[in-house]
Amino acid sequence: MRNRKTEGGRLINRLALVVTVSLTMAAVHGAAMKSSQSAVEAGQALPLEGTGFHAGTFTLVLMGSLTEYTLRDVTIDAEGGFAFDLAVPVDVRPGQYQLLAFSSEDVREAVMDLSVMAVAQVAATESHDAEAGHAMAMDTGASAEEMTITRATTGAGWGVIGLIVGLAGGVGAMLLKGTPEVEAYNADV
Amino acid sequence: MIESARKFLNERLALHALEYRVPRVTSSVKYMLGGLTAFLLLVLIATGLYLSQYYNPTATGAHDSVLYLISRAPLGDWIRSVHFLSAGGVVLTVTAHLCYTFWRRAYRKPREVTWWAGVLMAAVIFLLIVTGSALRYDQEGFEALAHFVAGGNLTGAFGRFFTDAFTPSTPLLTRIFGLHTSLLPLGLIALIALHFWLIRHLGIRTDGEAGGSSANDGSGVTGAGAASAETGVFREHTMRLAGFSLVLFAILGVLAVLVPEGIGFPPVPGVEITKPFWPVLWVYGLENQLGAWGMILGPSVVFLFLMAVPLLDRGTDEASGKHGWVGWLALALGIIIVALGLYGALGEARPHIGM
Repeated sequence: MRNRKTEGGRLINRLALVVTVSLTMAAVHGAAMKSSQSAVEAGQALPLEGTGFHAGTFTLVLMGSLTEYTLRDVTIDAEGGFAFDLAVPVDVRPGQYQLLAFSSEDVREAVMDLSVMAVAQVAATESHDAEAGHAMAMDTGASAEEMTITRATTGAGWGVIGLIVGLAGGVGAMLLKGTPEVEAYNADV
Repeated sequence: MIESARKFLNERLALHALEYRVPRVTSSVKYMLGGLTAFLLLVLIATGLYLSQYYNPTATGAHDSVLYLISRAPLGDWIRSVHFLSAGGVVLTVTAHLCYTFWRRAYRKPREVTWWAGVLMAAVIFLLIVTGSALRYDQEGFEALAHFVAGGNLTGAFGRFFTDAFTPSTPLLTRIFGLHTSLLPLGLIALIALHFWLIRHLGIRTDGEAGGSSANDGSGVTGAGAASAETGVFREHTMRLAGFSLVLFAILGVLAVLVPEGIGFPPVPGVEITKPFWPVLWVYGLENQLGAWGMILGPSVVFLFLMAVPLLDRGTDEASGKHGWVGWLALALGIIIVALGLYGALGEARPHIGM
């Protein structure tokens, strides 16, 4: 029992040491990314700078709530930074993203928020010819159809829904049974 | 056990206040349409509160957040479908309630303000429907938002709120979300409170009431018919209404499983290719004929007519259905709205606002 406690204590100490060292390293090198823009159109380039990175190669990933895009690898210069125009692929869905820099050990080193706008938003609004604008918008994916979506409800979810619906229907029917309708009088006097 | 619990609650929550008398006829569904509307509004508030925890009211985040709701949030898909179906249900119950109240001519003295509060509520519900349909931010939602801007530009200073010119600090979608989730519901709750207060104190006009101008004697039944009216107790009415409401909720819950609400593709500006949510189809049909002004004129004419009804119906005959020319005018308006709705639904999609 005592040995177990000692082993457990050692493990916690080691974990604490690893966490402390990691946090200290992150604080010391303070990797950060920034851009002069907070939004970019899909298919366009984003001016991007990085500072405080340790030497090595990083991977830039654009992560949204539903989709993620691996963009490119970045090699850090001797001063621990980088600067270039990041090409955002034209097929990136418009939305809010986090741009993440992952080290080769898959550690998240730096992050920044980024909004991606639809390429057609510019193309369509810049066109002064209504028909050409319509055709351009349709070409860039305008659709009145509905998406095919994998829905979230699981087995437990179906159980909860069944319970709610069953309870509501059952209690409702009981209340109706207990309070019968009284014949409406029509004594229009 | 149940009796002692009831006594405990009664003493502390003053439930005996619900023991006042109401006409027996209120146990039928046609007298519960207003109550069912109130219940569906509660469902909309509850489901809306849940949806708002996941919704991101920005142009770049809205569509993804709805997709997240459908595909990942716990019960999100079902709750969103219940919200959508309840919105359609509210339109049906409030329309039926309005038509039946109109038929009974329950807007006559002393219930003009009760009627006006009801008409204002119907207008707020209409605004909730159109603001809600913009929030999905797919192609249909985007076009709904573009209609707000077009309508705002058409109406000048009155419609400035619905344009980007109102303020550069907050996107229009975010303001529409605020309108949908705070300002309009608050206005609706205030109107419901006024409506209920007036019904409680002026009573319900039943088919048996001939003297519409009489004040409530405390029984909830008014007029010459009151003397002959059998009376029940409001608590029984409420229990029966709760029964109908829960059965209705169960039906909506099953429908939400069988026909879950979908979402379109992310919006692309510059085109107008979708049709609106079905309660707004009649306005869409009118826009096919009048262009963008249709969305201002149609609802305004209907709203002004309904507000004017208590002032226009001055006939001395007190019976239900004896509206005279006001009734014929209402019937004509109703037929036009249904015809425009069918035209909007079945006709081809047309651009109206020159996007």
